[in-house]
Amino acid sequence: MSLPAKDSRSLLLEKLRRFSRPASPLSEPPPKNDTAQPGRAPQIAVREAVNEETISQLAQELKRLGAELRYVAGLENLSAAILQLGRESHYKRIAVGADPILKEANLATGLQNFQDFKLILSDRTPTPANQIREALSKCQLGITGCDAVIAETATMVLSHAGFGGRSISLLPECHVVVAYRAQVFISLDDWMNSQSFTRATLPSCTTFITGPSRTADIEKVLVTGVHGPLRLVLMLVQGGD
Amino acid sequence: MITGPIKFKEAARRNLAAQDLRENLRRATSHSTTLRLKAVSAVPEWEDLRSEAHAIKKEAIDHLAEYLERFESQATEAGCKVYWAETASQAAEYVVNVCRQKGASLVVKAKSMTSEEMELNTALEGASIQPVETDLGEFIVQLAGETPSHITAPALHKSRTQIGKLFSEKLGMNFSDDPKELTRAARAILREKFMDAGIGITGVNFAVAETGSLVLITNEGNGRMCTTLPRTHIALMGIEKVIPRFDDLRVFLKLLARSSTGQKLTSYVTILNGPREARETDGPEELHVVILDNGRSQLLAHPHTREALYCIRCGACLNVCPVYQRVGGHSYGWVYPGPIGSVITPELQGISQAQELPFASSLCGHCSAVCPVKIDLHHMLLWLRKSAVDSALTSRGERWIIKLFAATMKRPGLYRWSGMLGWMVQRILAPRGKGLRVPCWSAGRDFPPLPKKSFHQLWEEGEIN
Ligand code: SF4
Repeated sequence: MSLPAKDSRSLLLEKLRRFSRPASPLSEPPPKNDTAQPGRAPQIAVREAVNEETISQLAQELKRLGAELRYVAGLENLSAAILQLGRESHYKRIAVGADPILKEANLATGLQNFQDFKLILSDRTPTPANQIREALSKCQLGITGCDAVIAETATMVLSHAGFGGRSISLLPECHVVVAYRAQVFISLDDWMNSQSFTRATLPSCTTFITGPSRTADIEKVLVTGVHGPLRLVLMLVQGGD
Repeated sequence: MITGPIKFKEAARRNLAAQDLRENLRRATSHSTTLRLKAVSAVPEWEDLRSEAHAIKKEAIDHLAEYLERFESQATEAGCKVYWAETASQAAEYVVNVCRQKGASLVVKAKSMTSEEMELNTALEGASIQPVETDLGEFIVQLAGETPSHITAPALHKSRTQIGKLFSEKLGMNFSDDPKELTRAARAILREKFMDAGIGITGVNFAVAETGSLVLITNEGNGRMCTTLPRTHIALMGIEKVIPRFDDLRVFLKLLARSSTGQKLTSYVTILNGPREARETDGPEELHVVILDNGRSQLLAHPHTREALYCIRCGACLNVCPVYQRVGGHSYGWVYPGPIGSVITPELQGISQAQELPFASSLCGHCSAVCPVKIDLHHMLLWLRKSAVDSALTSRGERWIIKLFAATMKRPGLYRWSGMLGWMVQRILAPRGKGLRVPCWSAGRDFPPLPKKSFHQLWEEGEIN
């Protein structure tokens, strides 16, 4: 490109340097809050045990957001739970991601046996990338796993590495997240403390999903279902520890 | 760019007279304020979080050059292309060039106030590239051929009936004023656009120096769409968006949604590290980041206005401002309205262009009290007023009156005498028991009647102790 990229860069940086302080703070530890900052948990990856109270907080929070929670007794019951959801809502087209939990549940096979469903996608159908999104946009149900569930805010953390990528949790009408109970964290701090974030470890895209897509742009009336899914269901599977 | 001086008073007077606009504004701002208050009061450590956010932003802005360079090197390492633009037009030119290079004729945009600064839509249209706003509020505003009137709720000046009429007129659908139906209609139209667009343009909420991450926050999912479907993503950020560490996000995430919409967390927080990787099936193949100055370094230069760069664009100061609540965003004449707009517009566009804005405040301080990063907005407004006066931008008459006032206040004798004089003038000219009608002043407010005895007199006579 014939733009003077270098020029505007050095001019701008020069200007900023004139008004910035030169010290090199990045290598130093954060200057703040290492001591007695109530807003901040210490940087030690101690995970508090998830108890019934946390789960009921998660349930409450999901309800407040207009999302749903379904308990699944064990991984072997997942296909049946999804089938039931599909039947209730007359969903016909379904896409299954390639997350380990879904593979472990043998979902692709499990669902193929039910004649009501047309399984649009799974990592077993070798579809060219450009057709995936067309197909996904026609799906009513997109099923994914997740990295973690955060009870305090009912947030699901997804890093879209697997099959179906970013689209599978975005394009279908209803997004089903499958998580083990043991993946539930109390708070965002709790989860962040258990991770280390570096450029090398961060995937190209991580999404925190908190409820179905929503807007209040017309007279502040809350409408769920704008560009993202209209409906969000968390299927919490017993176990996983 | 604004082409002439902003005429705040004129625009405000016009907007004040519009009954339905005032009703729309009142409804929207009181709704947001109530939700914010509820969300904030549920967080006992709120004040500590604000202080912490202020400290982080101070650190980032104090070492801005270094953090931006660090961000650049990390983002580049992750595969992004970073472009630095000194002016809005340089940035717009870069974006247009990328679109041309990619042969894109359709661009989907998530809400970005930075792109409004760049007047990007005009630039794109000029190059025969169709920009489509995908945030519902922005979509409405674009259909109506207007500009956003709020930084987080662009169409809050419109009622559902107005929007319904607009949709039936421009989109050929049957009239409906049901927000859900209108939203679904927009969803269907925009879904097609997302599928077809070659380029997605978004703003940036936070840029993390440590990891080169871009953080995008949206409720509707349009930010995700723009960074999932098109083959190229262009992210636009002002220089102030950088934060030092990834870990700092936890503080800002707690503050932003609560301040803005009263949510604990926005529906979608998207953290991007470079374009898609080889094994991925979606996401952009190219990710461009445009870092824009456009006058922000002016703010950096003055110790009095530097803090304005801490702003995370939550919109809370707009919602609580008694002036904004009544006159609406369009009165402020440029991209950023409300208290934060009154602070940054004079610096970004020149004080002579926007000299009226620092005066568009009651100085009640509510803005400073709600600001999640503790920007001392109302004192900045006061300082900007001072600089407007110092550079003789206020009217000659006003400056004389202030001089006279100052002289009187400094001399007790003159002060007493003027009080007596005022009372006598009132007795002669004002109707009994009523205050004086002072030219100009009384057009917008009452002059309180002066009592017979002054405080001084009462004090001396021992009636007050
Ligand atoms: S100045 Fe503060 S309150 Fe106003 S938009 Fe910026 S962060 Fe929010």
